Amino acid sequence: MIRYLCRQLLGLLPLLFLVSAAAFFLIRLLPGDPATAYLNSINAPLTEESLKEVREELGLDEPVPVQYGKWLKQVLKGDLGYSYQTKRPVREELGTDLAYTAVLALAALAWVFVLSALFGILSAFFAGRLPDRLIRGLTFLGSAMPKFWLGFLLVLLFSLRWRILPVQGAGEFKCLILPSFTLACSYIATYTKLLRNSILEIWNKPYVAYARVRGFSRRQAVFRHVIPNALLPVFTTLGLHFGGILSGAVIVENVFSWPGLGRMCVSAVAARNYPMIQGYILLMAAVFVIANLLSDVACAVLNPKLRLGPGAWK
Amino acid sequence: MNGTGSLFYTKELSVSLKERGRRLPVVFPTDIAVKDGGCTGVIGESGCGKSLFGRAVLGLLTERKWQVEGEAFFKGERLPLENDREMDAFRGRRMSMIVQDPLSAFDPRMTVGAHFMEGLKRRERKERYREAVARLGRMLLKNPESVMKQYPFELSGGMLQRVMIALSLFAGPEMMIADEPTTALDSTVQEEILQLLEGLLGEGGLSLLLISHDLKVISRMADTVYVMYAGRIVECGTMEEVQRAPLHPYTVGLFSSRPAFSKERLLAMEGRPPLLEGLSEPGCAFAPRCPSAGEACRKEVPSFGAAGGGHLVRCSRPEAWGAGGRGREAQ
Repeated sequence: MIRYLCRQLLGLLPLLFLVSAAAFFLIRLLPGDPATAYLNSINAPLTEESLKEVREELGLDEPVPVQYGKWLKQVLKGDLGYSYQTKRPVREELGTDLAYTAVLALAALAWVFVLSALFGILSAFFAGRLPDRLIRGLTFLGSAMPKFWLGFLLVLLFSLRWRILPVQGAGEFKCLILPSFTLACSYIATYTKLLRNSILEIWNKPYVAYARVRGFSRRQAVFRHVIPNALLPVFTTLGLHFGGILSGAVIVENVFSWPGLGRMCVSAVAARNYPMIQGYILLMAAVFVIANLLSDVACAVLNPKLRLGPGAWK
Repeated sequence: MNGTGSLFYTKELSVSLKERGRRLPVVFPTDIAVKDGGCTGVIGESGCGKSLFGRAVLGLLTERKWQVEGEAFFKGERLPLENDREMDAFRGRRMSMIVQDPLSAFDPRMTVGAHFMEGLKRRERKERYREAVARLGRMLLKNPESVMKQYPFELSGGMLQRVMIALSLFAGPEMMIADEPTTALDSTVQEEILQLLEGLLGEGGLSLLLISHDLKVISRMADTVYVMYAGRIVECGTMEEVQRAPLHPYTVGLFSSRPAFSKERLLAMEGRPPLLEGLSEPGCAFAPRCPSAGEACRKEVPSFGAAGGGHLVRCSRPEAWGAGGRGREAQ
């Protein structure tokens, strides 16, 4: 198990290398010139001379492979470079933004856990009857609704019409509610469906009937056998989706002006702020892989068959 | 057979499938009795409704899908089959069950020990653990201590079946329903499990309702046998009587498709049992496969008739009754 984890972590390194190369070369294919964008952003005049000066300063006058080599050397030392705009180290910039995005993503996860557990269980218990149909209708709506549209609707209702929650901001807990729910919505739908089907499947397993045969009540069978086993696939897919939640934050953060990674990324792309974009992509790749790894660990802890059965990790 | 006086008996117990407002009968009103300390066998092809009957008796069929009618009595007490909660008092404690595929009967996340400890408070565990180890030992399991720590998928089918028997008997039931207890096991292990069950019947004071498609298992274990075909009991009697002179053409067929150490060619029964939808059609369900079926057989379901002693048969052709030895002479 430990060896498996170490191997996975080592496997992360070549992956990050590939991602860094792809990111580095691909963003340079984007139309637009970072030097022009930079001069525009500080309201400096656009002259041949100033452009040349900026290019030299940012190291953009050299051939791209040379730039990549230099950047990679820095990255290996743990230095992601400086943001063109703020002149602050990319690492610090990403750090503060990541904290905000992580808060948003964790809050979204909390929504997903609570609501999909509630809806999934209700839906399975009343399978085929009114509550189930209602919930299935809602999950259909939830997974079909684009995030930006849902975000605006929620702002319209909760902030503008009823004035319960703030339109935007990030300072206090109240500000977190709408963005995190918007982010969570489609995942709530997915997990509600997943949990419902999983519960219904487990319900027909012989070991549930056998628990009843041994004299355990329906409630005991459900809480000790059906629900714990039905949650396994939820944990498996959660790791795959966590990266998706983080990157899905791009849209939500822009709708609600949440000062997280997503918004930073959009503005960095607009300004052709290469070091920031590269840093963002590297960070996301690492987060994806680590989230998958954590869900693997969770599954092994929860499912003894993965730990001890045939084909277990060694 | 009249069941009053038996440890367990059913009175016109029937099961039907609820489907789109319709009700498809799967098990027709059935009377089965288990003597105190005895073993009653129910034999039939797969899909004849015998397993369903076993589950219905324990109140395990979901109300949404199944309609169970009729009554069942245990020690003269009527089982509250319609009330799931009240049945909890009977299940496990007074009547238990072991099933066909032992691996699927255990929660894959739990060790064998955890199954024994399920629902216990912490301070009760030590006691229970010791008791469980002792009981596993009595099931002739080697290293019961290490078995307690293992997960179901780490044990063989035979070991799991022993664990399941021990677990089923833990709360001290007087009767056990064994639904194809040896079908998933290879024949040497089958023999060991049957010996184990025999021991429980004799000294253990347990009564058994044994459900199987395997004539070998039934004829070895049961004192009374019920032959089920397409949801109906077609013949019943003591094992001895039925074996000596099977009356219903289906029973005759069952006995003659039993392999023996002889050079005679094994007789296979032609055709298949009817589909679920065809069960409620008029006439004897076996008529299409019956070598001696006449016009009357296709018109109405024959009633249960006595053939001497407790031997009953559901066949409308009395001339067939005398043809007990039509296949191979029954041993």
